[in-house]
Amino acid sequence: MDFFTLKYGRLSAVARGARGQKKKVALQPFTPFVISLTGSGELKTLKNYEIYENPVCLLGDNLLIGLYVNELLVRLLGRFDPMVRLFDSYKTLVIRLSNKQGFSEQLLRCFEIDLLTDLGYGIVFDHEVSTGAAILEQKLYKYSLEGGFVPAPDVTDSNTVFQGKYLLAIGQGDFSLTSTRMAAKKIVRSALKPLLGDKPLHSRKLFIKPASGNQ
Amino acid sequence: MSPLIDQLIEALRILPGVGPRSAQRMVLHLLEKNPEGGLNLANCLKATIEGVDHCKKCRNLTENDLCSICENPARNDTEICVVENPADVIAIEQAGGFRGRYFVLMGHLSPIDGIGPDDLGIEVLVENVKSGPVEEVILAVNLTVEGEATAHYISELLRPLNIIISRLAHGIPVGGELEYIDGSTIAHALEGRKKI
Repeated sequence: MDFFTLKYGRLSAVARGARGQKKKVALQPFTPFVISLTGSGELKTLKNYEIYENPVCLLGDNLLIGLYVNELLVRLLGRFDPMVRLFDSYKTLVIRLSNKQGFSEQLLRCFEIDLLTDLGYGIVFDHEVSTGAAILEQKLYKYSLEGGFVPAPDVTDSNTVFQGKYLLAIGQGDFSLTSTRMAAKKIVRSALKPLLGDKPLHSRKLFIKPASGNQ
Repeated sequence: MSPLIDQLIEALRILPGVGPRSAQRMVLHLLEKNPEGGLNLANCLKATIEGVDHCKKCRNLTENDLCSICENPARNDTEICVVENPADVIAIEQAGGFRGRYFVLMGHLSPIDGIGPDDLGIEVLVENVKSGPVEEVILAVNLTVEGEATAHYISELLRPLNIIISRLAHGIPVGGELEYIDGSTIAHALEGRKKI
């Protein structure tokens, strides 16, 4: 079982008898626990646990988003690499997801951007990394994971080329325009892609409904 | 010990909860106390594993094309109860009271473990609902995060078909005392309270 902890980042532990546990509260995802672990190796043994705060309840599409975020963390975080800031944004995100009206796409994008930053792949939205020149509203920019945004002559590929004004809006946390949200989604996806490798994210399949074909 | 005995001990360890010492005890018991029973066990294992497959309609385990419940004409075709495992079918059948059909997912959606909709045969379920006289689908999946995700995914797929989609009630167990029940169960029970 994987835990995302405040002090030690992600770690794996064996939870003996966790399934079919009758008396204790089940170890369920999205629940804050205080845990104690034993073992000297990388794989620990869960000695004891109790619920730290009232468990949150994620429903519907918000639950699927929660599973997507958990899969991202399991796939991308190294073991025993403390990430205090990310732990906080994860906590905020889960609480907002549990509130039926409280979720916005912006929150998920901000979490993904935080995750990329803490992994060392932060995206600079207000200037070009190679030259240091400021991003201009009317100019077009192409994104690459290594080089950040560089000027693009025209829209050769709408998945990698974006207008400066949308990049500036993302940098300022202003996701009010649909085009900004679309651009943020495409940028985050292309930044995550090389980190995730060839293995697709299984949780993404849950958003694609065979009947309607929509996301 | 002999290589054959070691091999059998190792083979028995594939069973859940069987470690080296229990495996050794089982092997010695079979060899010393009940060799005939051991041979019978071996034959049954071979025949069952080779002969049993999934029912073409409900995915439950059976040695025929269709399981006994799917073949039974007395069952109600208008209700399908969706469960995670064959053991859940047995539990509901033993409880009595349900006379409809089943659909066994053989698991639940769990992206972290790489289990997606294709692994659960959900398209077969949708096809069954479309092609039959189904009026209600009862989602009897477990009350876990993965069970909840599975129920949500299936209900979204079935919604356009204009049928009743229901979920098993969750709350206080029969004979349970409020004092000893955890907070989230009480919260669920309060939310799903019934008028009397």
